[in-house]
Amino acid sequence: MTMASDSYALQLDEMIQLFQEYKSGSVTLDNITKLCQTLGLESFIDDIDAETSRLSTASKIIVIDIDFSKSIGRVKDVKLVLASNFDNFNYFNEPVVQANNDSNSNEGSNILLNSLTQYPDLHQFHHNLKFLYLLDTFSSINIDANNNGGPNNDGGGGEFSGELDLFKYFTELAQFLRQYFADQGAPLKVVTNLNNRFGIYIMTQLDRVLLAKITFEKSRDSQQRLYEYVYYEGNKEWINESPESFTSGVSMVMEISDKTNPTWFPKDYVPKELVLDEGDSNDKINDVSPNEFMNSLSMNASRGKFQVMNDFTTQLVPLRKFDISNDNSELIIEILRWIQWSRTVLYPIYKTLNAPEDEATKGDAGKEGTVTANGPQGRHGSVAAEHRKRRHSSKNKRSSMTEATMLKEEGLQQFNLQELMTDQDTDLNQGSEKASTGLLGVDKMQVDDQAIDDSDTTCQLVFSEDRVSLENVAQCTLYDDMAKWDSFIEAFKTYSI
Amino acid sequence: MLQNEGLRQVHDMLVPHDDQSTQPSEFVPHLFYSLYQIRKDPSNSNQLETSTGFIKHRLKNCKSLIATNEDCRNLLSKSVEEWQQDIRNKEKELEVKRKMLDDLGKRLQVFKERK
Repeated sequence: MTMASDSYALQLDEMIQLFQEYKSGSVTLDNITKLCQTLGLESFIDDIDAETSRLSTASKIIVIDIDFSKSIGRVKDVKLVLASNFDNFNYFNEPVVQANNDSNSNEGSNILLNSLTQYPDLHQFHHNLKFLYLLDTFSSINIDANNNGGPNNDGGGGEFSGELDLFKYFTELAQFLRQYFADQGAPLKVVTNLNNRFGIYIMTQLDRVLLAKITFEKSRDSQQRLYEYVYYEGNKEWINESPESFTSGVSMVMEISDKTNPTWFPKDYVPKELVLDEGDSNDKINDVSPNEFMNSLSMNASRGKFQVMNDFTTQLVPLRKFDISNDNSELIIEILRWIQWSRTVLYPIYKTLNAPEDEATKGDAGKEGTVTANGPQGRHGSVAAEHRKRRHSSKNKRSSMTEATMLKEEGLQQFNLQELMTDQDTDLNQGSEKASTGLLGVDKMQVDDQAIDDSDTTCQLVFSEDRVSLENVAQCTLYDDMAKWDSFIEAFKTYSI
Repeated sequence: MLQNEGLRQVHDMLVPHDDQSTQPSEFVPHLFYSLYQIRKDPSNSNQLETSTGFIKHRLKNCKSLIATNEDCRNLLSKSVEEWQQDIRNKEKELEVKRKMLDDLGKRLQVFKERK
C-alpha cells in the first residue's frame, strides 16, 4: 500500500486518467471491461446464452451486471445490486413528469443503461462509474474487512469504527434537503439524478433553473471525516446521527451550475477552507470583472439615469465549489440564497450600470474605489457563522460611506479618503462610528434629499453586496424574500428606461 | 466508404472493425489498460512493450504503406480543412476560366457578325 504514495505510481495514475478522459473508447464489451478493470473493479464475462454475454463487474459493495447482445452488438440491460443492507439506491433519472404520481408510466430511466446506449463512447459511463466507485470506496461498511478499496484508498490504515453507507446517505439526502428547504421557506426543487448523471440537483421551483448540484468527492485531506448529518423535521436542524459513525477521505460538496456567468461571492461569504474550487478572478461579465467595475465607480458616480453610491464593503470572488460536509450543511441555504440574489438582483443592476456609456467617471475613481473594497477586510474572520455577523458590520460601514459622500458633496473632494478612514477608524469599532456621525451631524435622509436636489432626472441608487436601494422608491436586502427582490428590480427597470 | 484503395487499407489497419471477435482492441483503451497492469504489477515493466506491441506493429505497417503509396502520401499531405480550402480555390479558378472562355466566345461572336 505504500506504493500509492510513490511518485512513479502517481504519475502512472495520472497518465491512465488522461488517456481515459481523452478516449474512453467506443461502447464494446472489451472496452467496458477494460474501463472497469482499470478503475479497480473485478470483472468477469459470462455467456448467458447464444444471444447474450453478461459482464459482471464488482467492488466491495457494488455489483453491476451489463447484458450485451451478441447479435446487435449493443448493451441491452444494466442492473446495479449492492452487497450492503441497503438496496434501494436510486440509479434512475428523476421521472420527467412531475407532480403526478402514477409511477409506472413515467418512471425515470436507468442512468447506467442510458450511459451505455445513448452515447457514442464510454465517457458518460466512465463518469457515472467513477461516482459509484467513489461511494463504494468510501463507504464504511463491515462486509468484507480485508478488502479496503483500490487505488483511491491511499489513506493507509482505513480503520473505520462506525458505519456510514454512502449509497444510503446519498439516497436519503434528497428528502432531507426537500424538508430543509420547505422549513426554510425556500422555493427550491430537489431532483435526484439528472440528464444521466448522478447527483442531487437543486433548481428554482418556478422556472426550474438549475442552481447547484450536491455530490460526493474525494477530500483533499484523506483524514477528513464525514459524519452522517441528517435533517430532523422536529428540531428543524441538521444533526449528527451518530458520533461513532463516520468515514474518512470523502466530502459532501456543492457545485454551482454556472452555464451563463461565474457566480461572484463576497470574499468572506464562505470560510476559505470550505471553498474547493475558486473560479478565475479574471473571469468577466460583459468584459469587465465586477471588481474592476466597483473600482471604477467612485463613491458617488453618475451612470445613466442613476446617481450611484458604491457601498460595497468587500471584494467579490468567483467561487464554484464548496465543502458542505457535516455541520457545514447549514451553508447550503446561504449559498443558494446568494446565488439567487446575485442572479436576480445584483447582475441585472450590474448589467444596466455597466452598459456601454461614457467613461467619464473612471478618472479619479480608482483610489477611492480600492479603499472601499479593501477597508473592511480586516473585520472578516473565517468563521462558519461569519455571514451572520457580516450583515451587521456592513451596516456600520454604511454610515461611514454616507459621511464620505457628504464630504464630497460639500466640496471636499480633495480630502484623501484613505486618510479620512484610517484616522477615524470608523470600521473598526462601533463607538467611533457614533462619534463620527455626530461630528458631521447628518443622517441618511438628508443624503437622500440632497441627491434629489442635485438633479431632477437622476435617481440615487445605493448599491452594495447585500443591500440595494433606489432613493426612497424601493429597497431590498439579501435577507428579504424573493418577491421583494422582484419588485425592487421592477422599480429599478422602470427608472432605467 | 473510402474510395482510395491505399487510404482504405490504412483505415482498416488502424480502426477496429465491427466484428470484435477477430479484431484486437482500440488503441487508447488498450494503452490505459496496459498502464493499469503495470501499475498493478510494477515488477514486470517489459509488459508495456509486449502488450502494446501490436499497436507498434500496425503503425509500422501503415508507415511503410504510406511511404510506398504515392496517392496516400499526396492525400494525407493536407488536413481536411486544407483540402476544403483547396477545393474552394480550385472552384474559383474554374470560375475565372469559365468567365474567360465566355468572354472569348462573345468576342468571336462580335467578329463573326462584323464579317
